[in-house]
Amino acid sequence: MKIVTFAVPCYNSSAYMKKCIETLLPGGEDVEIILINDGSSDDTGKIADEYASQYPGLVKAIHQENGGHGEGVNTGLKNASGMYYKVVDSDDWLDAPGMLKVIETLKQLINSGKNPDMMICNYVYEHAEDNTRHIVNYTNVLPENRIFTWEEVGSFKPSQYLLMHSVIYNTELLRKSGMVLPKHTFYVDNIFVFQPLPYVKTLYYMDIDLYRYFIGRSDQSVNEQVMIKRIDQQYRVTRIMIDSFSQLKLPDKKLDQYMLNYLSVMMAISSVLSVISGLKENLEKKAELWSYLKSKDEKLYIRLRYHLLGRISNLPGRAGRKLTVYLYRLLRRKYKFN
Amino acid sequence: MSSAYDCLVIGCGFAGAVIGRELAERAGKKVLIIEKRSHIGGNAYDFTNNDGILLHKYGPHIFHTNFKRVFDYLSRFTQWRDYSHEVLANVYGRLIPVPFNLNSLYMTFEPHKAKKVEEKLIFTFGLNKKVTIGELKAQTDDDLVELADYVYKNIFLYYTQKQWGTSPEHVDPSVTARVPILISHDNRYFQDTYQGMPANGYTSLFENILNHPDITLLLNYDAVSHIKMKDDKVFLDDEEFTGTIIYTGAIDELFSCCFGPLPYRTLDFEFETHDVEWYQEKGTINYTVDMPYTRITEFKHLTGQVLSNRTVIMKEYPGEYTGKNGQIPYYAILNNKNVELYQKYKQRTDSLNDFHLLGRLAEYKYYNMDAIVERALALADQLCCKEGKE
Repeated sequence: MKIVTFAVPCYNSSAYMKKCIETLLPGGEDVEIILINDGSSDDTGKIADEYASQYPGLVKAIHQENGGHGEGVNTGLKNASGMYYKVVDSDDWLDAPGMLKVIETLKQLINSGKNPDMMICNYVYEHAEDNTRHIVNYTNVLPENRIFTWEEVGSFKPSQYLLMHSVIYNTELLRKSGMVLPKHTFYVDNIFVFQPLPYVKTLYYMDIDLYRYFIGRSDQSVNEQVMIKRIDQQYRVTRIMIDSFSQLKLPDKKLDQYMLNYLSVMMAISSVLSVISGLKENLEKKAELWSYLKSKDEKLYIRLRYHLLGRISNLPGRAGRKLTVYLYRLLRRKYKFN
Repeated sequence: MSSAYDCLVIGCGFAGAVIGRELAERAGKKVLIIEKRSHIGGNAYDFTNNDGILLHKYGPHIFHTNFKRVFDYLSRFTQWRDYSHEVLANVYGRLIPVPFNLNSLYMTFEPHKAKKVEEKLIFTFGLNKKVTIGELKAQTDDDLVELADYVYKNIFLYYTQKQWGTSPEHVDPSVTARVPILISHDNRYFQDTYQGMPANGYTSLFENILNHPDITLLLNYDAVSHIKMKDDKVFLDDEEFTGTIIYTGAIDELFSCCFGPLPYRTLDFEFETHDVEWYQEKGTINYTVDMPYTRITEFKHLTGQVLSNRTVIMKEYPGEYTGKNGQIPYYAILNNKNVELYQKYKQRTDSLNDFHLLGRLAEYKYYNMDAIVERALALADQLCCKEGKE
């Protein structure tokens, strides 16, 4: 049985995908590596096929029409045979010894019949420009090396929100959650770490710097100017998150609070980007988003309205810490708060 | 990742596994072993096929040694099955023991002649001595020269041509010396004090060697993709590695074959399953006058597996190593030109700090299994000792 399926969505990744794949191969027979060639126009498909033929039973190559990162994640999930599912972006990589430890732990948990719904590990920002790194860990909010529930979770610092990079889901749980990411849309990783959470009852955390998140190439989607250009996609994702959270009555207070915080940050980013862009049409979209929320769930609307400014300075993950500072500065100027 | 380890070992055959264990156990080091294949054990790797038959994936490996230290060391990790390898040569359908010995002599010549030659051999060289083809040919006695010619033509010539793809004169004497004539009635292929097979196979032996809490092993991890050299520094996944490095892989590949590839002979193996209890009477039969393959090995003789109706044999086809299509470099082709080329690569590593080359591929040498274990233990002595003084 395959313990983990690693899905690697690849779009024109020929220059760097090898490094990513090579760090997954040591998983050997316990893992399945699905390379999803998302309609690339470079050698990505060829490289994927080469790995698949060189490592049969370990690497699969799937070619699809271009559908974006989210569609790659969907395709990987559809084809996954591993008990757990992990997305690794083709420009990022895993720490191989750490990965082996995680697999060994999952194996033991599966054998004892106590396999968690979600495994969480640390991730590391690898900055290309200055060769520095920044580790995000959860030692202050999550118990280590044992099964726990949301009740035992502490309060996450905003820089600590769970990202696609920090989670490994039970594959069946993801399928049960019905999550399907929209095509041709950036920032869908937010949906990935949001919508399935109510299905997650048991968690497990290992203080291992597993995921290496590469930052620094200018075409990456966290660059703030790029974010403004892609504002419609930010809105689309936020709406989907509203849909999955509104009218939800979560028995777990901690989980409810966590999801509320996360959604509020998404609302804040959308709003702030509209403001920065200075375009009238974007401000209209911002107003539409808020009224959409109000129509969906008025209580939630009220909760979030009062929640916004407290959270605005704290942006998760892909948005990045640099952007946080930038937005904070802008917000201060525009809204003259503080 | 690299900062978490004191030592980096590249390759997990005998060289890598033994030095890794020694550094972890004797020097208390955190050791990371990376291996590009999907399994441990290098070319000694064995596995059980779908019919339940234990096979040596990269050709027959029979353990034999005169080093007590090596035997004792490996005995910590395996029990042994008594096995003395015997090889026959198929000379136009007649099977005679090789190395050519006194028994072979009586099977080849009529008794009176054989007796005469036996007496001359014992008189000239002594009983239980080994003589090489070259030494025999240098004799003036007509019978001995005739014997040399017979052995040269029927046992040595075609076999060596197949093996090296060249005529014997172009083969290094150290290789020729490996085909001796044995003045003895002992049919065993090796005369070493200790010989046998790991009771549960080689892969199990390696698993036991590697079973140490301070050893981390990464399979499918190709040094060529993960290691970079720049300004006398070694980088593992873009992070400088400052600890001890043991490199057991092909040295030319480490430098992208910048001076040209080092020449090797490769082998192509053909496995065949037969629905009989035994295919041939001994472990290995050499085809010394015909057939495109050099030899056929039947694994059940080696491993002692009992199976009444099925057996697997392996035919070996030597060929020129081109580095393509998953070919494996097995034997260094030792001549002056190649050794000079090797030296050029080796010089590139001289300026590296605490960097050591170990093994067939890294040292461009022919090592038997026991010889490389001995070398690995000696290097461990040196490294652990140096550690102690500091």
